[in-house]
Amino acid sequence: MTDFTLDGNKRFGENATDFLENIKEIDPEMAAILEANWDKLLSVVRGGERDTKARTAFNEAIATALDDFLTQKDDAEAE
Amino acid sequence: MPRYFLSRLKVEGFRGVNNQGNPLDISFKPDAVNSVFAINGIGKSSIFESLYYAIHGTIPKLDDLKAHERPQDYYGNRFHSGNKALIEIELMPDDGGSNVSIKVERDSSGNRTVSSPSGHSDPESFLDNLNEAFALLDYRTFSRFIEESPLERGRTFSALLGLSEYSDCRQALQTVSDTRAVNTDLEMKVLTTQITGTQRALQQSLAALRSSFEKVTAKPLEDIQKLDEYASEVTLALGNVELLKEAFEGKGLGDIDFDAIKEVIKTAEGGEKRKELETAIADIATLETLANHDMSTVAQEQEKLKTLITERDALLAATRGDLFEKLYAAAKEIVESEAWSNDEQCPLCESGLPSSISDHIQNQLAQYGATAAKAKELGDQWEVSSWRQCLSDHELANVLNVEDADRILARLDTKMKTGEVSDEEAKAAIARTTALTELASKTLAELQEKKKTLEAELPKSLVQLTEQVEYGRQFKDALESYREAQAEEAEQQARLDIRERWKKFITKASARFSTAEAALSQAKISDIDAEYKSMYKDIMQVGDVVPDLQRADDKEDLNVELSDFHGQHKLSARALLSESYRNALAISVFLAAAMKHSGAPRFVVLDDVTSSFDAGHQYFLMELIRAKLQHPKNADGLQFIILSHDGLLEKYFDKQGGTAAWHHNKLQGSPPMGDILHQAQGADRLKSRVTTLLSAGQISEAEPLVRQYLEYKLQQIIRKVNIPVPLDFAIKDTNKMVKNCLDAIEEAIDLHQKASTLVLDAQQVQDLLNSHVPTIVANWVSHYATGGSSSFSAPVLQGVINSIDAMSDCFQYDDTSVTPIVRRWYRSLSQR
Repeated sequence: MTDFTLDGNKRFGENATDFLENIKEIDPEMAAILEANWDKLLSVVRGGERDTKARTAFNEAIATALDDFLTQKDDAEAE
Repeated sequence: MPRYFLSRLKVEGFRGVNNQGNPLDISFKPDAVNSVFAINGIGKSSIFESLYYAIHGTIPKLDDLKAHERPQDYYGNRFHSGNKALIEIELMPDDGGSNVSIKVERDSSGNRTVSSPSGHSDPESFLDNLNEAFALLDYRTFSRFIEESPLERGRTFSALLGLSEYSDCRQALQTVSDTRAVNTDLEMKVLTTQITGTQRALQQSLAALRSSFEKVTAKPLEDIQKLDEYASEVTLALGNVELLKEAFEGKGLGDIDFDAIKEVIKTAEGGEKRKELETAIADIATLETLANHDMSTVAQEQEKLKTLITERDALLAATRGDLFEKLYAAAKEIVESEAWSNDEQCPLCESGLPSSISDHIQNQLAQYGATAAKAKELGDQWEVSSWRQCLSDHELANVLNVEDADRILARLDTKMKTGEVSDEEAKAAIARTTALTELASKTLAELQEKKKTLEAELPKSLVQLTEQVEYGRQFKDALESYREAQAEEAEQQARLDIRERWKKFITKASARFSTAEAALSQAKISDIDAEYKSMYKDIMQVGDVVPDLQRADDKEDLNVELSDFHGQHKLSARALLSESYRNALAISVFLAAAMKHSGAPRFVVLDDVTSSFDAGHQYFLMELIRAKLQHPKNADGLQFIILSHDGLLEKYFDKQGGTAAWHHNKLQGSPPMGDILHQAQGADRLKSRVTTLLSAGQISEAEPLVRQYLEYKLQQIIRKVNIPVPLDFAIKDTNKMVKNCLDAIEEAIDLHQKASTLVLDAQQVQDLLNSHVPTIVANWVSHYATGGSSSFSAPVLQGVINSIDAMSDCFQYDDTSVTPIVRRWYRSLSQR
């Protein structure tokens, strides 16, 4: 599963879905967080131009998601 | 999913197309090459821009204008009084489905509205799908391709191959996995500092635990994993004292009320001295806790903070103050906005600059950013420092009697946290801390002396008990602090660990996508390799100049080399190829990519792309399109729509236009005020409009339409009966086009009369030469061509229209060989 290829016959959205599925193999929980913030990631570079504000917004969302993930994990362990 | 051919375009009130109430309406055939010819200024580029605006929502030429030039005012036609531009495109799916029509309107305020007369449910998305880089190509696109930097070319190429989203995604993943960005954005450094601070607090609590445990139980605290056991031992040790049994009965250490116990002892002992002893013991315990502060660590931190202050001051000195920061921030906003496109011009004074203003602003703002970062680091370090804790503990310790007015912590906190603390203030704070620690040390010595005296005067057992109880309380407090700090550290460490885990994940994910994207891009290049080389050879008719595209492995750069240049290898294409060769290479690459693309548009519009070609290379390009690329000759081919102003190319269009595989349109008109029409759009509509305007007395509005009608009818005669025209016919002053046509017709008739080969009957010749031509010359040419049109009147212009109709009829005959009889054009001036 580690050898990931983009399929030239598929649209970007389909390849993106395949990619997000593939990287679950690296870390499924982190992959889920990336998937939930995929649109924010795509805003970081548009038309070859990097958007620093979008990068900060993406990482803020990731930081929140990581902290939420810890809280949920603690709650689950408590139960 | 079907792909779409472009079958129709209607334009009104947009750019050079006025056509008020009478939209320019052009049909394109999906199964033929479509050519549109117009001489300069007739609105050919407006057609391209209309399509571009409909699909992309913008016009590159207007995007290049500066804000003060008000590009938004130039979308609509400036002579159209409807204040609304209309573009309607109709697309035919290649799977036999129903046509889709999309209407794009733009009002005078720049608002764009998209609708679908054919009832498509989501016309905006439909247009988005048509937004592919290969569909609308102009000369500028091609000429830039080779001239651009490898990075820009790589981006253009990615877009062309439909890989822009992949390229953007790869860069986005690289950006968010950059170690520095992750550390900063996820505040990993802050967390690390917090953890260090919490660990320090833990050590301090542990020291208090060890000390107080030993004082209560006379045993050392050896294993911090057994704190619960030690707490029980403390409870047991104190609970075994007869006097305290009731207070400790059945309770854990956390439940013990040490204040109540002190009251019990006080009651048992009574007297002022015992109270003094109790206070002395409590104060000694407090002072001993204060003495636990590691002053060597505090001294190191003080030095570190002083260094940070010095570094911050150095960075601050390199900036130019608050006002300039505001200026740079405003300038950044301007140069990053669409309002400013020239990066080598100052937006303030508009003078040219030797280098990029964006870089300059970036550098200046980076200095402010570095100063702010240093100030933040200062605040963060202070926040978790032992020094701060030490100062706080000393100022708040009642035993030291520090007056509110003498406390400096609150003020220092504010200054430190905002990073504004000065070197002098820091030095004063160090001195104050030193004074307080010395005072604590001195007071401790005094209290220990006092305690000895009191102990000597009071019963020994209760003195010792009071002391034990106080240390028991300290153990309880230290245990609580220790556990709180432990929980805090665990939480902070967990937050840091999950961020480290994310960092590893996103770095791996980014690398995986990057590898896949590079492979896809390389595969796409390989996929078109043979095609673009073959097309290039077809257009330029050379075999010993072979171009080669090379994509960099780890970045988006696309290099163009010549793998063969007359036997020499690996040379710069940009350096060696002439403009026409460079453009041919760009065209080959674009067309090869377009042929491989599977996006929604199955059409390519080429606007004046042959400008740098001579007639021969124009011919080879057109033949390549006609014979190899056009659908349906090539089953997987595309529909080509070629816009050109080139008179020589028009000869080729005219020749091919008579065949099923080629559909030719010619634009005529008088934009931007008058209408633009093409030969298929119906001269009858034009004539009827002229008649309406003349009936209403609108002479000046009718004039340009009369001219259009005359030019149309005369050129129709020339085309239908094959009248030869001089080489410079289309190049001459367009104001004289009517005269040029009449001259060509008269000369041809004269030639055939002299050769006795004229097929027109005598009456037709007489009417033509004695009535119609003189009427047109006298009532139109002699006025219009000389600019003396003020003498026109409605009846005179109506007479001109009647004459041109009658003149046109002189080149036709009744074909009696069929029933019913058909009025036909002579094949030529000598043949029916």
